Amino acid sequence: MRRRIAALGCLLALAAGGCAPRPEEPEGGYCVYYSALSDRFAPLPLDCEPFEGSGGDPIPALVDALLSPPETQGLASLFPEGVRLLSWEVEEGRLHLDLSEQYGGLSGVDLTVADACLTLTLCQVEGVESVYVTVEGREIPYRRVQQLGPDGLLLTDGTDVPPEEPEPSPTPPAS
Amino acid sequence: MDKGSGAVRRVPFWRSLQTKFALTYIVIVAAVLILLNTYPLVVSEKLAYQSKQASMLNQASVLASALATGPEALTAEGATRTVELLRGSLGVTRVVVTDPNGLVLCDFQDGVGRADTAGRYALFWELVTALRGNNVFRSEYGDGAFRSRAAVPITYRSMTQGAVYLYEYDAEQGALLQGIQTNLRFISIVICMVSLVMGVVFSKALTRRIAQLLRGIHTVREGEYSHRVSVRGGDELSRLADEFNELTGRLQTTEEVRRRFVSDASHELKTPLASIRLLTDSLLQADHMDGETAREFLNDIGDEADRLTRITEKLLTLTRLDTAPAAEDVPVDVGAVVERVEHMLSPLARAVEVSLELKLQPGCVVLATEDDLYQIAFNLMENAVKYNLPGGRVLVTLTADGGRVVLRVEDTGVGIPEADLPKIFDRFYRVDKARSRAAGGTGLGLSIVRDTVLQHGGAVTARRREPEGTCFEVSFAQWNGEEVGR
Repeated sequence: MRRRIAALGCLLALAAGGCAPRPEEPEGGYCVYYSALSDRFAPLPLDCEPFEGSGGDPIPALVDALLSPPETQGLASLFPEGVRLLSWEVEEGRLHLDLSEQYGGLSGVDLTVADACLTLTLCQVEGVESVYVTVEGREIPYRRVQQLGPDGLLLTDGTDVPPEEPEPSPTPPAS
Repeated sequence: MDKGSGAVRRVPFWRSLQTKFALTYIVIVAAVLILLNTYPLVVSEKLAYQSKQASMLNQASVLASALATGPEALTAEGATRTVELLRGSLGVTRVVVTDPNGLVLCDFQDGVGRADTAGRYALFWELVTALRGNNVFRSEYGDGAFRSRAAVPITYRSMTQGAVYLYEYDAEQGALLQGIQTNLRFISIVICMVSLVMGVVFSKALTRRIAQLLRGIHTVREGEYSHRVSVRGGDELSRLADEFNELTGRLQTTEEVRRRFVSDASHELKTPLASIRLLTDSLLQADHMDGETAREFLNDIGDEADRLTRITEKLLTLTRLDTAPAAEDVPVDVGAVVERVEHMLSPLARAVEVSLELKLQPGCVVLATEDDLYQIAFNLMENAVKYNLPGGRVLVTLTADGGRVVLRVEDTGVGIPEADLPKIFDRFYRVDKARSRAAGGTGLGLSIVRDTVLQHGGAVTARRREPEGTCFEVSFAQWNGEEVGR
């Protein structure tokens, strides 16, 4: 008798579980980009590792992950120590990030790689098409491109070929 | 081999020597082929890499020098102009020039300027590394082509103004390498097939002779001692076959001697037993036998029993010589032993009217045991007395010369025919059987002499004595006073 009661209890528990609303899946599927320059066999200067989101707003979480050291061996974060996200705002597909003054210490190709990491990571978020980075509310004056999208980056191993140009439409015969 | 089955057990294929030999051969050849297929290619790849590294870094440096003309920043127009001027001499697939941030200033691919990359950041590993101040070269070989990349920074007075990136897709050298690889593979396949066939043939040839030996051993084990194996060639296997044949020959001889000995011993033991049986039957069947005749019969039975005892004692002596460990040798004066024997045999000699004459050189000492020397001297001297003629002489001479002690026993008897001389030391061999039995001989005395002499490292010979009789000569190494080694 006890066995029958226990079996019935199990069936009820399974039925209740099946009908209950499923918990929200954590935000995931993002990739956080880091510098792979220290790996002499890496095909590209950037590589990414999967991001396990905490379920909140992905942008500050992704920026936090970018500013933290990576877990994968051979990858490195080029952001200077102490860089903080002061504010952020998405407006018409443009993500405006305001970072603390330490970010302004970057220059040359290191600044480009850091910008590229921010751009490639954050443009994965829905609604973000480009990233505009300021330091303490001001643009970095020596940076040639202030607003960067994935299209502005040529991330290949050099073997890429130019896209084929569309065939020109036949000229209508002169009437 | 299965016990009692008589058949040669088949060795399982994977355990057979032929398989092992063939596998060893194939493994060695495979190892050589692997080396042949890797080492030349690795070396060729390395040489091609080094050549390309030197060439492309040099080209990139030349271009970078041409671009670094002054303190003013590089422009897309200036870079394009310079690259167009030098492009013909570069001979690479792609040339990219960037500013210090990695922004593409000009990009030529297959001789055509690319517009789609202008104003974009070129994030090539080599380019970024070069912009950080390093000269870079990387090359890989795959799918029949070399893909090589070189990048150098454009510097003017230690100031990085940009970077030059060169990419080369070289299918020609790749095809050359692939050709070598294909040829080596073809050669390897041929060698592999030849070695496979050779491996099987060689191992078969080797193991065929081993199998031949094995069959020979099996046949001999079955008792066919006359079987001999014939293994050709002058190698270890043929030596082994020779040794085996030699061993089989000895086994055959030993077996023949054993059979003859058993047969002779049975015969010798049977004769007195038959006599005893006959005499006892006569005694039992004769109802009115007088006492004297009966005593005579009983004496004969006693004589036959004595003969049996002598034969068994001598057989035991021979067995002891064959099996028992030799007693420790001590220095023994042979002259003293001969005198003891002469003392013992004097009554017998007198009875048969034979005189014993001794010529003993003093100081003839040998390493042996006194009992064994006594046995040797007694058997020889007793034979000389027994098989002599009435009025005959026995001459016993003992001399020491050249480090050897020689005991010579000569008699003036009827002598031994020349044809019988080589056999007289064989067990149960008698020249004149009737006379020997009459004299109480067993046919074992001389065998005991020979075995005993050989046991002590001596030698014994027999020859006809001129003008009559026989001469036996026993020789031992003379003891020179050193410590006893045995």
